[in-house]
Amino acid sequence: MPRYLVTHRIAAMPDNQDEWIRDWGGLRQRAQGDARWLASWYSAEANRLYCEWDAPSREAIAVCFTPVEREMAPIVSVEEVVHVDPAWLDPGS
Amino acid sequence: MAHAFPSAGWVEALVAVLNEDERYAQVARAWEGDIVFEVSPQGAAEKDGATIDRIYLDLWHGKCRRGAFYPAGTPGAPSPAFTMVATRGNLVRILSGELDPMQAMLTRKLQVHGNMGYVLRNVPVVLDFVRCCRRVELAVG
Repeated sequence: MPRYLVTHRIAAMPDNQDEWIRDWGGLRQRAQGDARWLASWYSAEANRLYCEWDAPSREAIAVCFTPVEREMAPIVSVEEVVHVDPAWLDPGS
Repeated sequence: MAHAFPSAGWVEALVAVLNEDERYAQVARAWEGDIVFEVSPQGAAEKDGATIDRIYLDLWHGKCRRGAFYPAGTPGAPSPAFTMVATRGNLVRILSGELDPMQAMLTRKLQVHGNMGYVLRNVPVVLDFVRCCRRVELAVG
């Protein structure tokens, strides 16, 4: 399964904690089929959200987002990436 | 010196840490907003105003201008920009490093009342604030 790094620009923030949890919880539910949301890193400095996905295609990721989510966190790029674990370089690994 | 949590001694020690920590001063240099932590002994659903301890911290541009502890039943805690609500157990888990602060917010173990967008845009400040809190030694028990 290809792995993708999806970069979002944060255009709007949730007004309150309930909205934040509801939005992210909804995405979590939608991202457990063909496309799976694995992890995210948020950069307040860059106002970006970087998300790691396993998915059969870019399109499979795109359909997980609602129109509102696309407005709040527009996708800047979707790049197919390869995982590298630095521990592989340790002696004996 | 170890302090019970929550207590006036813990708050006093935290204020001292926040005001001498150079990293916090830098990371939080733009932060504007006072906070009340409401510490309940049981689960949030069971909370009773008469049993909630409150910690007030006036955080302003990388410094803490005032800190105060209001034991349960004590009036006078200011109305802050942000109110954080949690059980004592969950706050101690955050302070001990057992519970990640982001995870606590996403699971409502730490409830946030106030401008959530401001909190999220300032996540590095929040995390460094927690780091400073962890510098205050907790009394066991």
